[in-house]
Amino acid sequence: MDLPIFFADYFGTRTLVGVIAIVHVWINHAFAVGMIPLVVGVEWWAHRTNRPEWDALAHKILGVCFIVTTSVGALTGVGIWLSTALVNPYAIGSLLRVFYWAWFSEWVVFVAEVSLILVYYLTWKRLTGQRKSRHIRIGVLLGLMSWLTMAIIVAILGFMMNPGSWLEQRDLLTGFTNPIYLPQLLFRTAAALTMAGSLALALSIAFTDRESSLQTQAIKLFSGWSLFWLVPTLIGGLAYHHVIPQAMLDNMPVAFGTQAWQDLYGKLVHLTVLAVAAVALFALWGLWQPLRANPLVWIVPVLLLTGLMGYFERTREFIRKPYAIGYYMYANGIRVDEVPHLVKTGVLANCSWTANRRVTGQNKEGAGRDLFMVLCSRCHTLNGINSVKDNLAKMYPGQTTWSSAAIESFLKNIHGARSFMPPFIGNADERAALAAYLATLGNRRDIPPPVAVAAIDE
Amino acid sequence: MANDLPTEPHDPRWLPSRSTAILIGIGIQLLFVAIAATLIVGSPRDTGPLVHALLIPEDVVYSDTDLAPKAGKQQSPIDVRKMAVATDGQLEKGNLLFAEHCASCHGPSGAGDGPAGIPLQPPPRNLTSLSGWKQGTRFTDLYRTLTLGLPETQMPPFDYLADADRFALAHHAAALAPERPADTDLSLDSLDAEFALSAGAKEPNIVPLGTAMERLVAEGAPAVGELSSEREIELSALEPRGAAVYSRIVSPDQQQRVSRLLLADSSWRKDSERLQTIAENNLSDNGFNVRAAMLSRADWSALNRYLTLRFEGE
Repeated sequence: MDLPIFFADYFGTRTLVGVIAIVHVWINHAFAVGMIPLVVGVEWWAHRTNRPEWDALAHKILGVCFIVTTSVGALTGVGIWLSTALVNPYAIGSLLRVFYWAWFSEWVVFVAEVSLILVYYLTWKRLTGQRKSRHIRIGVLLGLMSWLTMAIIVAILGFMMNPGSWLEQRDLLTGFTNPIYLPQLLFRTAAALTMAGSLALALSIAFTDRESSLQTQAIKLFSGWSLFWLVPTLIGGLAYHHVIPQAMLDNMPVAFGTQAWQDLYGKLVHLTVLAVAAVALFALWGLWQPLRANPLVWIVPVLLLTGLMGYFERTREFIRKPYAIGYYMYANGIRVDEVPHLVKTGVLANCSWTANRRVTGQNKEGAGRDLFMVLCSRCHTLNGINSVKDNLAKMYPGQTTWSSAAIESFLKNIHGARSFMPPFIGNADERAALAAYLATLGNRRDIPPPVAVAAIDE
Repeated sequence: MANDLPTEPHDPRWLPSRSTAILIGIGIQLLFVAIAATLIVGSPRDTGPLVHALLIPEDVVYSDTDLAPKAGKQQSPIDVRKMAVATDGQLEKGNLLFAEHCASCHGPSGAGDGPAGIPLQPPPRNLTSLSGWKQGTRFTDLYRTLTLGLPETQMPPFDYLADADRFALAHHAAALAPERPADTDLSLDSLDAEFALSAGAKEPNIVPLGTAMERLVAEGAPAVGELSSEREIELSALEPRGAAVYSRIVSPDQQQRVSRLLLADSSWRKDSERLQTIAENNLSDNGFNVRAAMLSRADWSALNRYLTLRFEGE
């Protein structure tokens, strides 16, 4: 309410956040959290059994991870906070205040992680012989730091889904140990290790000679690794599924299929199970018949796991709707406890950056547009992905003019009709104004200004 | 490749044998199973509703004193018996209105298969079949549902449509499954009475019965739960949050009603959820104002501590 609104039509603000965050998760899990223990393990084993060719392979795999994590990984990591602060500053503001010391620790751990990966990668060929054990210890420390960065952030992710008793206690420790935290951490830890196995396999194909004994053994080892960690991933996933609040599970069909394909939910669940089974089958195949396949097929489990993880993130982000922070703040940044005040005094009266501060006879559509920006534009676009226009067109099929009375009646019960939508917040005039504005979208295309910031009035 | 690296003699320190490695592996997996099992058993699923706070109903008057008595509305005169006979004009109008207001959920043919109805629980009624109707299948029942909506479903009241439009819609819906029971004179008359449809009818003005009775009782009742101003200040210092919540949701002129309500039933004293139940029952007509619907669980606990102090010894 106090800040100007960043709006990206067509692409949508939530897509911006989603793309950056999901790319970051892929890199964090597959290239760092899961991969460092794998590389360190291979280094240790190669050292103990005196296999220099394995040492060299581990070093090359680490090289890829080093470049990817310190470039795209670090950029998207910062990008998450930049984009979320731009799109929903109120949610990030609340999280920062609750998790201040967690974030502080996160920053220290992150700096340690980046320093350690520099040291670990760049001293690989210098700390050899008698000093190899010291190098391995650096690797172990690096693995721990990688995991810790994830372990801290996962607490915040869980908190956004269900803050648990923080709603009463309001302190960091209860917020940190929210009901979703440990199950999700368990799942992500194992999933990261599984993803790293399939990625290491694909990379080792590129780094070894075709049908060499090293390649054969690498396929076997990394297939075994993936298969081994797939079991805890499924167990962790089960524990995670168990703590999702019941009401949020009801959002699963739309989270999985979007409104357009929500009735295919059952089929999509089967598809997911098939994808997981395919990953397991690939791993089994690699374990028993490492050379019976064209080396290029080993990219398939990497893609499958990447897709599954991306889908997991989308689903997690979606089902916590209508909230940005469970039971505390709606997705549009309005706190639940502000609602009575806003219903009484009106939303526009509390906005610092909208052109209209209250609904009058003359400004109904303009005020409605301001309300759209304040209440809806965090998730909906006007003309692009998840556009409010398309959604209304689906509700009034074949009609070119929409009735604002009908839209207003839908707004009254919007949370009842779509449990993932927040209730309409605002006074009755504002609801009518928003409905009047939405009704005008039926027969024209509204092109928003590049950044929808209106001048301060008076 | 081997020549790139300095070689060293085989390190004689511990290296797990194949069987030890397998045991360690099984150990790690069992550890995951154990942690997951503990978490599953230890943390039951949250089964509460998604939106905890009561949504403010649209006609709430934000009055700190009392629910405003409701003034009766003047209805335009309608002859129900005439309206209950379908004419071509009504059916045509009903057809158009159905496409506009109903088809998105109930489907263009009324089979309950509209695109906007897919996520609804319970699903939209299949109007072409007469099985499973809960509010009756007669023409008058259709009109009643259109006017009032169906509680606990997503069927909203279409009271913003004109009476004649609702009758036209009811005719269209009735024609989708023609074998429904016919209305009797009695059912038509009671619909007339229920919605005050006939000529000249006016809804009576309403004073909520609870309010009226409580006012009568309060006139003769002795004052309860009154505190000296020193004690009030002392309590606000002891339990500031609770005191703030109390002053927010109980205005001074309602304190007597709230005190009587709370002294009549002491079950809330150790149980803030019970307190919430008492307050939210008949909210805004029991002395608590509607802001009580928006309190957090922590607010209720603080209020409970405050009230326990306030009513100590009473």
